[in-house]
Amino acid sequence: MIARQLLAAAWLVLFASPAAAVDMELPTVNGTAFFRLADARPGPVVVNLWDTACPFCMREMPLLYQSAKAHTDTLFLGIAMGSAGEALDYLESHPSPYPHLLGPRNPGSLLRRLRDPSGALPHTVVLGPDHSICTVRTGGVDSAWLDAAIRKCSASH
Amino acid sequence: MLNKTRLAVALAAAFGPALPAMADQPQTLPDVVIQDTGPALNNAPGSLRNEIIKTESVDAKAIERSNASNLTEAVDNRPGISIQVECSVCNVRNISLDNMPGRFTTLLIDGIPLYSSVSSAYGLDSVSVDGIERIDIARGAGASLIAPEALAGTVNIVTKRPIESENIFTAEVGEYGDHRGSAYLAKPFSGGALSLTADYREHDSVDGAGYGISQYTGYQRSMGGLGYFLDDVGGFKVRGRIDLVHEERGGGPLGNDYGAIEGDTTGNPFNFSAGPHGSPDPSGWIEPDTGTIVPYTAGAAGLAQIITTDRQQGTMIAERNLDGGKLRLAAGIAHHNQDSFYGSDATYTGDQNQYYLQSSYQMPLGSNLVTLGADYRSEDLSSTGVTADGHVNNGIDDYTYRDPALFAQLYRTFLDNTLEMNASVRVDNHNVFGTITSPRLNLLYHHNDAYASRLSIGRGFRAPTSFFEQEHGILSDNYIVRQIDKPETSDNLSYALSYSSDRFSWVGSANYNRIHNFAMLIPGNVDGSGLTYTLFTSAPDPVTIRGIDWVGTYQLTPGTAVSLGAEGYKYDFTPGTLAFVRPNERAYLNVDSRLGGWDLSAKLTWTGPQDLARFYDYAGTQQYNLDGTPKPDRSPAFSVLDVRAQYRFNKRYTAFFGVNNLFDYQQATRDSYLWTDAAGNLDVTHIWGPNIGRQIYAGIRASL
Repeated sequence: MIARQLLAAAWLVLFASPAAAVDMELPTVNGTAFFRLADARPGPVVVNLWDTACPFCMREMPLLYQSAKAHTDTLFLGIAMGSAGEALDYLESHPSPYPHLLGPRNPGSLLRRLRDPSGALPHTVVLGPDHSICTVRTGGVDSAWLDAAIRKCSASH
Repeated sequence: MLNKTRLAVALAAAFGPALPAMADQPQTLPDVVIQDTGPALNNAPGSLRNEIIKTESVDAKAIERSNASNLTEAVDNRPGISIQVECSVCNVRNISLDNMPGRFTTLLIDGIPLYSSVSSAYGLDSVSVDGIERIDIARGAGASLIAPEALAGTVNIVTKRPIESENIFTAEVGEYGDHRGSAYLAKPFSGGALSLTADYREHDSVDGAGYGISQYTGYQRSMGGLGYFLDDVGGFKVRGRIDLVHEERGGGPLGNDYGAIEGDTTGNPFNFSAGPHGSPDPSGWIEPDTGTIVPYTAGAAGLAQIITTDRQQGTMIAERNLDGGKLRLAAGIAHHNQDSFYGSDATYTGDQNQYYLQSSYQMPLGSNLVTLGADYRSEDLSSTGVTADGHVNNGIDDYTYRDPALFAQLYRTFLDNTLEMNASVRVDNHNVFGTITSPRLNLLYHHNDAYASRLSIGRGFRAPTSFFEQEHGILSDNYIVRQIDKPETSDNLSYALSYSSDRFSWVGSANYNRIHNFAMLIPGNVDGSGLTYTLFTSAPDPVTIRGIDWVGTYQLTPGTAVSLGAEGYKYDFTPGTLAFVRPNERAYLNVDSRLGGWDLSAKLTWTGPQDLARFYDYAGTQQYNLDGTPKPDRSPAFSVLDVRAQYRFNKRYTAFFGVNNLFDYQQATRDSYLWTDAAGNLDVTHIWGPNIGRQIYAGIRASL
């Protein structure tokens, strides 16, 4: 048992990623430009992974729109994990107050960085001002959770 | 310790493609609502699904880009995956994984094995890709706990569960009489969903060399399907599908007036002088031994192969949570009928019934996730036939297989979830081959967020079947002598290293496959009474195929991705075992671009030279051209380029246009599919390259 714990600890020391700023470089949903998070202004960031094929994602989208309008000092980012065409259709009929990116063709690395290795949706990550992960929620969010998370992460360093 | 999300993932990962749909179901946890859609975008070459077993996916978008209307068109030309045509007249097509014979690839419908060597011969062309979410391809034995005969791997069709009402109609026209119409109707309702698919396609037979004998088989194919999803039936979540297929295909003489072709039994309607190394006399070909002309007098019917296929199949899967675990029940039923006219050989009707039942229970046990299960497979073939000289050989290739089995699987993680392990064993009690044990071990190690290694070691077995399509010579024989008491078994080892970042992903793999007791059907033996028979036996030496492949995709610009791939294989076999030629090298280049409403794609496949002399066993039977000269020992390298453009006018209407085989590379204009032996006997299986040239098509899709 002790040997196993020692081995696990050694493994973590050697290979586990330290808590670090999250970066990503993804195309915008309309395919016109790359967006690199490191180039964004410092400050808290709400990253929401969604897909038009995910009813729970669609259900919480109006809430995220509302929250983005209320928290103007926080960067909101949507990452569409499905097809670009369907995401564009949705965004045309539901104009968003914040930018939306297209998930990578192989999303494994991004999902692990955003602590969603299974790819479960919806998935929301709130980054602190230094863009390190502050809190994570897999599943639908509500306004109370979102407000509390933004408050907490805006203050974190 | 396994947390809830981890457990949900583990449920899917532990089963891999064996029970693939577990990953696709909404997972309901007490405090949050999660839909595990599976990473929807991991369809680029070089991407793997988030599963412990190396699994590549072809999703609906990729299928659309390939303009595929059926399974064989959808999965062709990817590293380690190819479609092998085994007859230039009837176009039997198999899916070859790691360049292994197609019979070692098992097709699963939502994880249920309902295809045999009988139904795969012509049936794979009739597997619809309408209304599916994706096709998962797992290479290597041990890919499936419930399909041990998948010595090369599995291809699993995952049906799409409708989440919104959709009415999608597609119409397409192309050269060579290619017409297609399809419909997909989906309707979710409170407590479930239904989907309906219908697809009709027809295509002329095509001769690229002027013989009047086709290389591309014509067909008229109708496919219909019903998908059903019920969220709560006595606590069970139930889903399934029903599929109906009717297809008529005809090759050899051109045209689709099959009645007239079958009735034309005298004279010579063909031109054997056409094409490379054509005969000096259009009415026949040179007999190499004597240099004399062998006249052809059997009319259009003599080289005709006309096959009518009817298939009905149904599947059902029911799952529910029970005492902290998950209970799964699955069932499948299929009836497959093939009615064939082989002009110079025989007439043949095969009738097959298949049944499948499975029950399994999956539960957490300490830090482990344990699955215990049982399944039962039943497979019968009943045939009638008449040889060309009028001899009735009903039931010549009949077989009856019953295969109950028990299986157990253990999944657990180590080292803070960076190492995942899946170990399993399956014990079959086959009615012909007795007790067979198939173990497997799969490991997945996440080096970090970007790199992962997968290692698989597995053993599978396949009960060989005597179905005549594996050896047409059976049709001319009177009976089969079974000297086969062992199943084909395999030893498989594969390793894959994958990398993914936001703009670049790749995967490289090495695969080792060794087949023992390779089944062989050797026709034309003569008994003491002068009757001919086919010997059904096992090759004394194993067949070994080793391969490496690499494929990667780079997001070059926000709208453009470039994929590169290459594969290399080595074969160790006794001539006569691997009966169809395979390349040593292949390479791939894909470019996909999104530009405003445009979706553009180009796919280039390069195939290296192939060792025709070795695979076609020239040492045993030299193959000759129709002018009496020997066939080449090696085929030339060649490239095929497919391009496609699609424009999306709005949410409702999309138009598309494409050209397949833009370079117009055809084998028939360089080296005929027709060949003779030294005695002048004609055959149609000298195959190494594309069987149809450049083809332009266009169509429109409406979402109403």
